[in-house]
Amino acid sequence: MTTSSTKGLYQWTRKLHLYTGLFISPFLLVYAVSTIYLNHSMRPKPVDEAQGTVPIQLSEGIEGQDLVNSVLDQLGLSGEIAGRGQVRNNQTVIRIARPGTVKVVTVNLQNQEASIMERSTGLLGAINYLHFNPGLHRVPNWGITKFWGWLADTMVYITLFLTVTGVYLWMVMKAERKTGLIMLGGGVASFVSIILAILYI
Amino acid sequence: MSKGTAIKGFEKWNRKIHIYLGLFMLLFLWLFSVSGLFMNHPKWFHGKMERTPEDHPVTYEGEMDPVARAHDLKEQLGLEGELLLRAQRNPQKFFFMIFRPNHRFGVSVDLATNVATINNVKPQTVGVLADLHTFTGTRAIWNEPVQERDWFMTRIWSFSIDAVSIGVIIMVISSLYMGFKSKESRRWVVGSLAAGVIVCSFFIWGLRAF
Repeated sequence: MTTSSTKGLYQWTRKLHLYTGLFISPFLLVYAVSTIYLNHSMRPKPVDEAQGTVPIQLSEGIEGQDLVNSVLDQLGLSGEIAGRGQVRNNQTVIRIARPGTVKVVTVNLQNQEASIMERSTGLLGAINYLHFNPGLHRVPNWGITKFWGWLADTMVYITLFLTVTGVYLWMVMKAERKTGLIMLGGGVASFVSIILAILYI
Repeated sequence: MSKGTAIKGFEKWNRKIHIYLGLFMLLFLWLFSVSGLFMNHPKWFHGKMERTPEDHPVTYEGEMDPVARAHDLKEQLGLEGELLLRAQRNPQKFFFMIFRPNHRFGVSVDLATNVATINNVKPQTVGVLADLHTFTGTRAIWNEPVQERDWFMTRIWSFSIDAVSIGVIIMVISSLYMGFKSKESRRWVVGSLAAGVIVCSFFIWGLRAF
């Protein structure tokens, strides 16, 4: 490769490293801060607020997903839905989650009414929600969560890109080579020894 | 020291810290990124877990609180890992789990015969990645009455998780400073950061309004 094309590659890599890094910096903060909270099992303190009871019209014998859809349509609610519309004692409970808030709808089929309670989990609840969704046991059913999942994947690819370009940019700088090698070696040694110990000790 | 020299010194060290932290955390970042990607796609987790049951005689004597009892049995059985002890459901048995990312030992002691049945469950490689991603020793999902890290490796791993998170926060802050000080186009610097802030804020705060 000629000197000018090497210089061009370096400059483009530097620009991309900077711009993509700045773009994902708020996302990285969301993941890093929520990780610290999750690592210490800190849960948000939810604040419950009853939002009243409203009349709804439900056809006789309705249950399952049809019941859930009918209730949500009538109440104009959307979000990540938990609750399959199973009816017990003429009641069913549907939870509609969004980052930082969960609406709990208790439907009484006999009285044809729905009581709504809003549980607010605040900023911590919102970032924990985003950290967890989608996840191992959470296949998203809300379009927005699916979109967040796609964004989360993109963040992973950008993070990997940033690490690779970061290594390239460091290798080009002769002044930082020695200390950088010590840091890289130290990191690799720490990682490998911790992983080996945690898996095989 | 003049103000200009101090700023120059700060900029130099800000850049160095960004580089050194990034290099030190390289493999940790790869692990948490790739495992996070796998966890976003549960369908990628195919393959069954390997389960091997084994019976061992144990000594089960005297009064002990459940946590001390589980530690005693863990030592008798030569198992290593984080202790997971939930409420006992069967009065004829004493049950606990020993958990580590590549093994889950379910230990059930039959109190009538003093025989411990160890169900050794080995996850697939992607399962090990997911377990490393979440191995904090105090997960709310485990619902333990006493939530504490009782295996020294759990403490080390948990410390590593905190250290990587703090490292990432420092890298983000240092990159913001470098971004605004760089000679690159100010429009692109502000634009890329603003785009990230707007999208992220929409998910954190915006969705509550609609």
